[in-house]
Amino acid sequence: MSFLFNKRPKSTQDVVRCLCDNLPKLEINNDKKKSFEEVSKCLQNLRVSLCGTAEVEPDADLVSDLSFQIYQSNLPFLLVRYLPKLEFESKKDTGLIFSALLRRHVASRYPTVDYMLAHPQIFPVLVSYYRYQEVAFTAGSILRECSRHEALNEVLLNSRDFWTFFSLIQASSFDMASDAFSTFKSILLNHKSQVAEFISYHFDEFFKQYTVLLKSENYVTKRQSLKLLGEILLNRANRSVMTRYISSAENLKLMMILLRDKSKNIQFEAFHVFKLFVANPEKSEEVIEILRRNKSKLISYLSAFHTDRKNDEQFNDERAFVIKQIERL
Amino acid sequence: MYPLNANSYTLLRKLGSGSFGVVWKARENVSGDIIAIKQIDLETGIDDITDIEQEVFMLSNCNSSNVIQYYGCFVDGYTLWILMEHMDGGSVSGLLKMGRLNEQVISIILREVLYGLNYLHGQNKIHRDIKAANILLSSSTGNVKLADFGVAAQLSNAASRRHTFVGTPFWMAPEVIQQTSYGLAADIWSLGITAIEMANGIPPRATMHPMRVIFEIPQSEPPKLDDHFSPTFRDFVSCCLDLNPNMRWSAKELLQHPFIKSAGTVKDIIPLLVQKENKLFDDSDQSVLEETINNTLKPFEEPIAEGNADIEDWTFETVKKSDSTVLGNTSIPKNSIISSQNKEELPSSIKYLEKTIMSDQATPHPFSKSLSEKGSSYHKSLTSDFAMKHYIKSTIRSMLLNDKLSATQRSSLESFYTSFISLDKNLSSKFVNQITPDNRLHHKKQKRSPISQLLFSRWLEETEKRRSLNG
Repeated sequence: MSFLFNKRPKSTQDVVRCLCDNLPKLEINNDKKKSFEEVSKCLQNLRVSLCGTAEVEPDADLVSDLSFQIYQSNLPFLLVRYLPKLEFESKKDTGLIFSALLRRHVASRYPTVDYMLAHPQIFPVLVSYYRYQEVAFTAGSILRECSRHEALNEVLLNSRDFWTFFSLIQASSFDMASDAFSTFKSILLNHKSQVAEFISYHFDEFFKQYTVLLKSENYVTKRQSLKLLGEILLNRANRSVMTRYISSAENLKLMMILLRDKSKNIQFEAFHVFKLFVANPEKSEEVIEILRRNKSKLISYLSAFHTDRKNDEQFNDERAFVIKQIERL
Repeated sequence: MYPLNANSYTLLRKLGSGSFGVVWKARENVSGDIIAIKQIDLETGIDDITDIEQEVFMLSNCNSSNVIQYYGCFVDGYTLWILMEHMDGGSVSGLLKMGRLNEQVISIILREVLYGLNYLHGQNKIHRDIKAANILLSSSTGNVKLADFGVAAQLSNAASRRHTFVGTPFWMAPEVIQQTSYGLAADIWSLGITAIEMANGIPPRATMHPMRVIFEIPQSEPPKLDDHFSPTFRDFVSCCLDLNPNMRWSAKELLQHPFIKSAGTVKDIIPLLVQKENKLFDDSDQSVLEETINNTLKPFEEPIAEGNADIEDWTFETVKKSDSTVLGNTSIPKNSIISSQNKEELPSSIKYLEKTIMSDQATPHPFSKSLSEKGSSYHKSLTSDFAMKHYIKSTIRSMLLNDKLSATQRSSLESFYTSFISLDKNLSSKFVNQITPDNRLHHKKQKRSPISQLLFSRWLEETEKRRSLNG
C-alpha cells in the first residue's frame, strides 16, 4: 500500500472516480484486464481506508470525505450492479466496504441507511444473487448487515423478495442454503416488534410457507426451520402469533408427527414447540380433543422420550411438566 | 463445478478423520477427477449445524495457493458431503512416520504455512487447528496447503468438548485452553508447536495424558528446541511460543525471520515425498484391501430412534360435530373396525338398536341419559382406554337393570353388549375413540383465571431464558 501511495497518490475523489469509470468497463471485452486491475486496487484502497488494518485505525476525516464522494457518485449501487463481474478478492472487499459503510454513524444518523432507503432497487438485485454461487455469499453478508437496521429490515420484510427465501433455503448446495437461512434468520429475529407485526398481518401465508419447510425432504432444512420456529414462538413480542399458532389442530398434528421423526435431533426440536400446545392454559377445543384422544400414547411415549439426556435438567423438568399436564386432561 | 449428489462419486480410500468427520479419497464418476470428500454425520456427530456452517464458509471463502481448494458441498440423508482438493502427498504427519524432518525441509513447510496463515489472518480468520496432520502436501508439485478449519467451534459445544480436549490439546495455545478471548495469535502458538513436532517427530508432552497437558500448558514455561538445532531455528520457535499472545510475532513478521528467509523452494520437498510413496507401495496389501470400499456401502446409515416401532401411530381422526343423538354418532364404517368374524352380527344389532330407540319417542334415551347422569364419575374414569371400555360395559349393565326397559329394548341392549365384549382389543379401542368425543362436547367450557395466563407467561419466560443459556 505504501508503494501504491508513494508512486501514484490518489485523492479520495480519484479513487471513487476510478471505480465509477472502470466498473462499467468490466462488461466490455476489450482491455478488460486493465480495468480489473484498476478496480481491484481501488477496492482494496477503499477497504483499507474504511476498515483500517490490524495496525492502523481508519482516519475519521478521510472516511467522512470518502463517504460523501461515495454517495454523491452513486457508487454503492454500481458496486452491487457489477458485483458478479468482480474478481474473488474484490467481491470480499466489496462486502467489507458495505459493512463499514452501513455501520458508520454520524451522531444518531446512519448515512448509508439513508442512501439504501433512497435506492430500494438494490435489494431485489442482492436477493437474486443467491442464484449464483460466485456472488451469493457477498450478497448475503450485505443483506445481513442491512437487516441489522430496523428501517432496512422493514424494506426487506415487506418486499416480494422476502418470500423468495422460503425456496432459497432449500437449495441443494449446503453452503448456499445455509447462507440464505442465516439471512432469513437475521430478518426474522433482529427486530422483534416489527417482525411480530409482520407475521401477525401475514399469518396464514407465512405459516403456509413455513409448513412446507417443516415437511421438507431435506434433513437440514427441516431441522433448522423447526429450531427457528421454536425461537420465533418463544419470542415475547410474538405472543399473539404464538397464541394463534398453538390453537391450531393442524399445527399440533404436525408437531406430534415430528415428535416421532426418525431423527432424534428433530424429535428434540419438535418437543420444544409441542410443549407450548400442552402448557397453554387456554387450549382450543380442537387441541384438547387431539391431546385427550392420544393421552395414553403421549404419556407412555414421553415417559421414554430422550431419557439419555440425563444432564439436561431443563429438558427433564419440562418433560415431567408436560406429562403432568397431559395426565390432567 | 462438481455435481451435488452422492451418486456422482465413488469413495476409494479413507484418508483419515478431521474435525467432525471422516475424509475419503474419491473419484467423480464422469470426469474421473480425484478429489477429497469429507463426510460429516449431522445427526449424531454434532449438536448444532451452524458449527459446521462455520467450517464450510471458511473453506469456501478462501482463495490462496496455500489453503486447500474447496469445490462444494451437499446433504445426502443425514450426511454432509464436503468436496475438496485432494493432495496426493498426504499430510506432514504422514511424512513424520518415516522419521524426523531436517531443518531445510522444515523451513520450507513453515514458510508455506505462514503464507497460508498470513492470507487467513489478513481477513481476520483464525485457523484454530494448526498441526502436522492438517498440513497437506502435493507429491507432484511440492505444494504445501492448510486444511481442516473450524475445530474451535467445538469448544462451545458440549457434545464435542471431550473430543476436542482428548484429540488435540498438544497444539492448543494457553489462552484457548483457559477459554479467555483469543485471536490470531493462537494460530502462531500452534505453529510453534508444529515446528517442534516436525523437528522431534512428536509435539511436546506427547506422552503425557491429554487432561494433564491441558493443565500444564498455561502454567509452564513455553517449550523450546534443544541445542541440537540451529540458533535461527530455535529463535524462530521462541518467537512463536510466548505465553503472552501480544508478544508473539505475527505471520507477516515471521515471514521475515532469518530461518524462513533462508528456506529453499517447494520442489525440494518432492524427493522426500517420492521416498514416502515408495515406502507406501510396500504396504500395498493394505491399500488394496481398502480399495474394496465403494459408494454402495454407505459409511453412515440413517439412525432410527429406539422404541419408535413399538408405539402405535397417533390418532387424529375427527368425528363430525352434530346435534344428533349419541347413537346416531355410533354408526361405524364397516371397513374401519369390523373384523370378518363379527361382520354380520354387529351392524344388524346396532341398526336394530337405533330402530328400537327411535320408535319409543316417549321413553327417554337410556344410553345418553345414563352417560349424562354419571358425568362426574365419567370424568374421573378418563385415565385410559381400558377404564373407558370398562365404563361402557358397566353402564350397559346398569341400563339392563332398569325395570322400565321394554322387552325389545332389553334384548337389543343385550345383543349390543354381547357384540361389544367380543370385539378384540384394537377394535374396541377404536370404537371407544369414536364414541367419546360427543360427551366431551357436552362439558361446559371452563374459563381460565387470569392467574393461569400469568403463570403461563412466567413459564414461557423461564423456558426461553434457560434455552438461550443452553444454546
